[in-house]
Amino acid sequence: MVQVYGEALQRRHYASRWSAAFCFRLASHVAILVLTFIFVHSSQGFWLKESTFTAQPAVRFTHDALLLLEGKGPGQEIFWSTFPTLNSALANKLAAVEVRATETDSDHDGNADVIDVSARVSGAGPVHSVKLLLQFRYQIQGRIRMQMQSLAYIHHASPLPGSELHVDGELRLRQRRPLSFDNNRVLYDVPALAPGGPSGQSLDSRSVQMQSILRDYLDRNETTEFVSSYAVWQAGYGTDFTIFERIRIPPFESVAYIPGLMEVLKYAWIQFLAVWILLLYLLSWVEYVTFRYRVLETRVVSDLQTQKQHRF
Amino acid sequence: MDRVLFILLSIILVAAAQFAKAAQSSNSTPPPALFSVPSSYSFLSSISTTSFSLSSFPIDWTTVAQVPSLNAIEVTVAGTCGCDLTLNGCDVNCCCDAECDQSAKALFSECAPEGPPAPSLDYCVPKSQVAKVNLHQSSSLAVVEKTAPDDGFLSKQLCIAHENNAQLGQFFSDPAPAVETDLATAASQYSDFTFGKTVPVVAGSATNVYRVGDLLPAAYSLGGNSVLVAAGAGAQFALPAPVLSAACEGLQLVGFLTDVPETACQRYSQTLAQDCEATFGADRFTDWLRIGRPSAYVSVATGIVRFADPDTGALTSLGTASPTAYDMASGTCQNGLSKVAYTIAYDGSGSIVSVNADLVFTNTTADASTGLATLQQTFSVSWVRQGTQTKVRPKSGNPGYLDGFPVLAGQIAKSSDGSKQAISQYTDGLPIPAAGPDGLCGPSHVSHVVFGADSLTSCGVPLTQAQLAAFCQSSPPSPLPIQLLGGLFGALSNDTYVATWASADASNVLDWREVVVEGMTSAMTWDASLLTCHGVASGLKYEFLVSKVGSRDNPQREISFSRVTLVYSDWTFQDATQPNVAQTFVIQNTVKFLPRVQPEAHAIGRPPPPLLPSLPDDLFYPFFITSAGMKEYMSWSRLLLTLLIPSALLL
Repeated sequence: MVQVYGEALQRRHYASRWSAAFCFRLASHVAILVLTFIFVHSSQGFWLKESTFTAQPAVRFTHDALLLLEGKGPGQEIFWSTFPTLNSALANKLAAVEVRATETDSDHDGNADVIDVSARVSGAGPVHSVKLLLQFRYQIQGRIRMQMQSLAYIHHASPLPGSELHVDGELRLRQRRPLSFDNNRVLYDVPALAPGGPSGQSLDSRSVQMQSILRDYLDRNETTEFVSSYAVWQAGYGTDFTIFERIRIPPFESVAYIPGLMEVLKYAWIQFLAVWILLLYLLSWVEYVTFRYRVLETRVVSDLQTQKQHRF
Repeated sequence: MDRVLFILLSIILVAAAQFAKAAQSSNSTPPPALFSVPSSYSFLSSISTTSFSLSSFPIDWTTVAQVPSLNAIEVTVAGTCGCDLTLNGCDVNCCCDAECDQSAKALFSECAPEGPPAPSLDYCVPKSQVAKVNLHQSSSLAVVEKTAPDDGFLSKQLCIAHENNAQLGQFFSDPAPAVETDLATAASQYSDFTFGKTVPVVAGSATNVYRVGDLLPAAYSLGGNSVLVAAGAGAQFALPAPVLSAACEGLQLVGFLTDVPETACQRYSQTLAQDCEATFGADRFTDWLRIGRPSAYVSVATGIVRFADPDTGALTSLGTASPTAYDMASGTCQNGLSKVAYTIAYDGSGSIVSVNADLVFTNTTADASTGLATLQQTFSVSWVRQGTQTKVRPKSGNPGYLDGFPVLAGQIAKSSDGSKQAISQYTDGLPIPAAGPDGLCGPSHVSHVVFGADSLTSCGVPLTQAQLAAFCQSSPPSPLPIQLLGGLFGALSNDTYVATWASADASNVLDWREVVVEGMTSAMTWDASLLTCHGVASGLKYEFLVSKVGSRDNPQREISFSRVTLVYSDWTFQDATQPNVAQTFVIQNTVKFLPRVQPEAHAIGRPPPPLLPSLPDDLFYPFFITSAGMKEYMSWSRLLLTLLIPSALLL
């Protein structure tokens, strides 16, 4: 003979409602639930309040730029911008430039991976400092949808007069607070670099000053920062100054967000279940000792007895 | 016939040229030039006369077909030989270049990349028979390279066992030649991502009535009122401001009813003798300036004119504005414009009534080493409604103080008959001693206390040994910091008040609290052996106790108490070997805002609604009449009283 199937028989304990045994069983299970909650909550991280995901942002150069080249002293600077009103107002300091912008999608996924911007300024004279602001349309598509217009600020200065500046870095997302889960965030989808205001007509000094532009920009919750530790300043004399800037878009940008309700419950349930099962196992031993050795009074009915009664 | 016409035309042209030459030679004296010809004028003429042609490749007509045929691109193989970049020529190291013969290829050192690197996969089974995989976003299904697999256990759990995709890949077809509408569609889609964006021109109002923020047209009047030249940015009233650097640029646009705080910028000149009047003169901001539309230009009237000492900054009053001129003897540009404070009056209809400019002039010289002359200029604009100039004064919040706004202060004043009291409020707030341009203390060098900002100011007092001894042994009327404030907080005028609330009314003295002044008792003593003056009042310590009132979300802050304490120190003359060389002693003042220790914000409930309904106010109309402006209802107590008294009288 070979056993092909096993069937467990049980000894069933019965007690009247609100008896000691009934109350013990009820209270022990409630206590296990409470203990589980206390344990998982006190061990921190029960409610998932912040999470992150990675995505490659869709970045496009809006072709808005403000370039300032400074000479040896104040008053010896020239500038160039893509804003006709500003260029007209400061025509006596407007530089002649040749600007090229190229967006390269090396993995053909529809998002630019590298943005190259070069600007050759003619008639610049000795250049000792460069300040450049570039504006981008920045989109995150993933668990969070976010679209904004952001800036990259490049600044380099040298006591040596320069002929070229090469910078290579990444456009990284900066968040002061995580994004909310359930919205399509377009709060900052307005130009951060807009001398003359939205209409382009209301030009004033504050909308042009770099410090004002950056102060207003950094008041935002989400910003982008051009991170580069690899600036190369090529010293030289001459009438031309050229800037080569390579902006790399990180393929895995980490975005912090506040999880939604279902995500919070899912992570909480996993933790709760893990501890609850463990405590339930311990409780089962306590119950075994309690009822097996008759610590509490119950009426015991065995399945074996029942089957015997119904034997044909 | 053609030949005759040609001869006649030639005669006419030659005669015209001769006539023009004769006319030119007859005017031996050229007419007076209205303006100098810029160099760009000759530049433009040189463009029109210089011949220029773009270089191009020669054409080999033997290779040109009579009937050209379209060279179709085979989409499945397009781009497979990217190193072939020379037409009709062999590209070095390009092994796939069909124009390279065997002799040329024999010289190749290596094969250059023929295209972008193909996508690759890590195969988990080294001896797999697979050769094709389907990569997302890839068109090159057939050229996926095998790479060495990771031999780890986990890496072998997912394998590409077989691929049977019938497709060659995904390819872009060669579209038909585009038309102009296709370009327009693409241009509209990518209009935000292009250079050369245009800005729509916004037409300004044609009337002389403005609304808040409207930019003000402006012009210069040169040569009397006959010539008007547009001024500022876009012919609008704009003040100089630092934009690209500290240098002045006329970009601070002035909007109607928009105050412009004091903004300082710098002007430079490397050739001061020539630029003195043009660069540092005041005419463009006063006499030449016209504000408003052409039909209602408003001239700028000169108000208070003062002169600032270039070394100390001390202000002296001038009757009228002196002309800016270069003094050859001293090498100084005299009476350069240092400060302009415009006050523009408007009326209720939104029109500009008058423009007044208070001016400050100063002298400037070129730096001896660089030859560069620098002058800092300050500009500001304030608006007043016509006829309300004396009544309007700024508040520092409403009602609580706001950070960064001046602490309102003043001294108590009495009416001529002594029956009434009010606060003579300082226009700039509570003063505090500060340094002048030379870093030294002076009676006119004051800063102002700003609410919420813990501050420190310092300035120097240069004294020789003898001066220090004399100063220490003298009996000044008040301590030195008090003297620097013109006697404010002094013993004889200890009546300085600070506004409790930022919206305090100067006509109500109860809105103000007296500043407690402490530490006025010490006297200085001179120790000749140590060259030390003991007990010198070397500064003021301002302390303000700030309380919060109102909603916890928007607490209003009031100054509950204010105190000024004199700080004393010992001044020791350090170098006794050089008693005649002045040593600078420091006056240092501090400001501290202290939050008051007060109970936490507590809940305030609404008053319970009345149990009984309100009665209309005209219930007993002939007997009780409420005033027209009061919305008052008859109370039940008054109703009972009204009913009970007559009833009692009747009983």
